[in-house]
Amino acid sequence: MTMFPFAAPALPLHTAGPYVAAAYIAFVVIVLVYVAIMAIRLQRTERELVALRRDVADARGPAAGGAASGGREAGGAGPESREAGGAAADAAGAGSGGREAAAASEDREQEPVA
Amino acid sequence: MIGLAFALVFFYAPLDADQGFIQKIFYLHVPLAIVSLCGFVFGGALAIGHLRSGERKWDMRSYVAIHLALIFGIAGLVTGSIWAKASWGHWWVWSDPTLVSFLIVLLLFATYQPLRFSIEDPERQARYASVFAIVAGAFVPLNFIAVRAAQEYVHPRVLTLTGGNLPGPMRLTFLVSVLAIALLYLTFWKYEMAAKSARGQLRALRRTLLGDDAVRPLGRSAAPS
Repeated sequence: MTMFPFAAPALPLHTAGPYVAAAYIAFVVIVLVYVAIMAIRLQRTERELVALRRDVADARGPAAGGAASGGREAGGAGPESREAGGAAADAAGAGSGGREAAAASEDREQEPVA
Repeated sequence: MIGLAFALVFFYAPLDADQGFIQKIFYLHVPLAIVSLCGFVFGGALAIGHLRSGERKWDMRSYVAIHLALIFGIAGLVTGSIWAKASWGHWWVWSDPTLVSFLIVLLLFATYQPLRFSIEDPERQARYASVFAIVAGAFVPLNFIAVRAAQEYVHPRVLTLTGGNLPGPMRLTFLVSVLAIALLYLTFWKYEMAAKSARGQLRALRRTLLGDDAVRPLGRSAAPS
């Protein structure tokens, strides 16, 4: 077994500095990568939440119907196309102020659910 | 807390007489290794909660604890390798029991996710993963004691049962560093748990409001849903 002399003379600062910097930078990079991955996942959750609000508005009713039904017609009736339809509804509803009205009605509608 | 620990490391703790400036890596490397090993044991303890109660949330907690401990362990390994290169002239030394045993623990827990991924049924996946987490978690302290008992080691001992070999300022810095890394681990654990829980709640809400068809089926995953 090779034994390394632990009590070797200390490395001079100009030699040791890059190693110490590398260790701390490696730690910070690992932490940043983790936080970035978690942020991406959180963004995905947020997008799904927005899609859910839109789908609920579509499914629930006439209050949000103006914009939503227009979007549904444009996008079709399937679950995947409903998202696309909702996006189309956003685009279509923006002109008539339908999106704001739909969002307000969604807020009211979600209260009993929560 | 991390900022305070780093400030103490670079502006308060004196230079080590033997190691010099390179010893500053210890304030990062050792806490990472300690927190990582404690994280594995923590994951095993949480898995006991799952087997006792059958509630999936315990499996989720155990999964996140082990997942994070693995990340911290890799960070500990990387920083340790950098220190070894500077101090010993080698990135890795196979004759050092501490290094090799830590690698064994890390590789053991690296199989945790593939194990989960290989089981499709979520219930069975959670149960088998919990059993694995408990057994592997129990292995960690045993492994630690076995290495400590070994005579032929070259790894420096920062802490001993008689109080360690660190003088006052160094000890304070080291303890603050351990606390900071432990708090970072717990913060990340809470953060990831909250994110996973929010996602689960969102799927449940979608199912309740729009029916099962509105929820896209989860792909095969190692992560509990």
